[in-house]
Amino acid sequence: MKASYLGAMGYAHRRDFPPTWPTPPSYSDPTTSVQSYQDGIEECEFAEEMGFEWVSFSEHHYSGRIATGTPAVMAAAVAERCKSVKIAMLGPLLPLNNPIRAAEELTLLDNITNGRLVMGFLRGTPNEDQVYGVHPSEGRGRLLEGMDLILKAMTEPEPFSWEGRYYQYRTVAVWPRPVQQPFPSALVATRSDDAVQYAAEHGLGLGVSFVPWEQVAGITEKYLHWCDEAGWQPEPDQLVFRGSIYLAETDQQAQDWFKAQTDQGRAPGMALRSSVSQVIQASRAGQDVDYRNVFVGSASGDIVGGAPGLTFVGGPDTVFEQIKAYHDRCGTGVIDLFFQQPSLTHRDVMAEIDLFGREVLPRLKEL
Amino acid sequence: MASDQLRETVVIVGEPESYSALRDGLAHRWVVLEPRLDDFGPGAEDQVGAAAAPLSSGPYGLIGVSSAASVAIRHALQSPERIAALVLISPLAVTAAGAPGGATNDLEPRLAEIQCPTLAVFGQADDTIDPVAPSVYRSRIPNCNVAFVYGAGHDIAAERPQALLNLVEDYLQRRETFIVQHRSGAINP
Repeated sequence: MKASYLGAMGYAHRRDFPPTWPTPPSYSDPTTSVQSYQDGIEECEFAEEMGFEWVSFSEHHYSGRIATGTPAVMAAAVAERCKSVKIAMLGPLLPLNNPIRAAEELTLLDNITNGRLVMGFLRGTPNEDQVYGVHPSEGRGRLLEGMDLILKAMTEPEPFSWEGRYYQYRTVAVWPRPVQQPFPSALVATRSDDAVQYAAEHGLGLGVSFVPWEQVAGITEKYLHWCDEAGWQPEPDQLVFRGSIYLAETDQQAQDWFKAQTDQGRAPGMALRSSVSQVIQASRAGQDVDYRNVFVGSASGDIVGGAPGLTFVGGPDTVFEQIKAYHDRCGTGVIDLFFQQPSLTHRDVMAEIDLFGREVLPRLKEL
Repeated sequence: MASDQLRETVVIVGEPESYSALRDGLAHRWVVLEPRLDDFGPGAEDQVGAAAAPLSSGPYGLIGVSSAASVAIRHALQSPERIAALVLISPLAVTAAGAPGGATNDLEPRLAEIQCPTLAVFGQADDTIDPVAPSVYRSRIPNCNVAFVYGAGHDIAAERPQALLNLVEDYLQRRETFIVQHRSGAINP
């Protein structure tokens, strides 16, 4: 089993952020921000040194918690410092982005890393539907068409036109061609049946995040069934799970830390106001919503739980067993870990990476 | 009709049921001829020429669908002065060795002789077409554009009728200049 370090590049003072999305830009101080990115890059380098085999990046917007709205820029910077790890773009939010631009960024990354790119396609969280003005009801269709277009752009040797439902281009000729042929290692990050089936039918891997192993097992079972129907079986590296982690020297220390966060109202992650979440989910389902009523109300109240909890928390033995459950029950081959909990400092995170590399990772590699 | 004399002509060859929606759409702007062919083998191009000659005063657009694309290619090679533009829809003129679908690989070396602007259209999910075929048309025909229609297999006219009509209409009207979308993206001035 392999471990991946999620290069979240969180803003150092993220513990001070309000719990809602978006985080106002007024919270961003340039001096602190510059140092935060340097700290984040140092964490990636140290993770590589401690035996992590992937460093991943994720497109998230309007928040300093995962501060990589343009993940390709961050991946390129880290790739120059980390010379052996896989650079995993998990990934571009396809419904938001021009698929041709995404294809160009991905093939360029595959070139400058000499074939170390892993690319993941996903729809994104509901709040992100708001960023570039894409209607939420179009997300599913844009994801499926975007994947087809990107793979075609990477594999078609001659210029072509694309007459899509959402995208129309009269000239597509993406440069450079990827180093990995016919296209870089790819997975679909999803829990939805249609996208899981797409991954299976196209020989792509599967990524699932932030849910218990029981739920991952159900998704994986369907994925493997569809892979079998398509006549192939995925390699371990093609089954990826992303989860949040807090690792301490002992279970007691971890529990004490977690209780302190809860007592202070610092649950990991963030939440949308329920009114915002409601309108986005309804729009995703194609339902009519009376926006006049939804957006009236307090801007500070109405917080919903919503935030994903910690997937892995405890001392080394406990965390190992928690991760091992995903391997044993779901076939997970790569565990992608989010270490930068809101209350932690750069020094805390470095200590966790060190502990994980010494006490957990060697055992994971034997699985 | 007198008004037909002012309109340009498009000739379509193929199985009529495979392009009926396209024909109906094109008929709003063009005089559409559908020559009755005995088969799509060598010699059928003579029937196309004979049918089009008395009805079309100038060069015409020529569309070949699926197996009949070979007929359209042979007619374009035979009478280059009469063809204004060639559109090949799900063409089977280039196939993998031994593949079904009326393999006519003898045409492949002659693609370089096609003189008119050519558009080759493929369904993005068409598993009856050899995956390398689109690039063969694009690289061999001197002035060729290739287009993929998303969400369609071999029967594009049935699966994405409006998308196919938009594409073909635009190409027949503007030929190579169709690469620049003719519609503005400004919708909120």
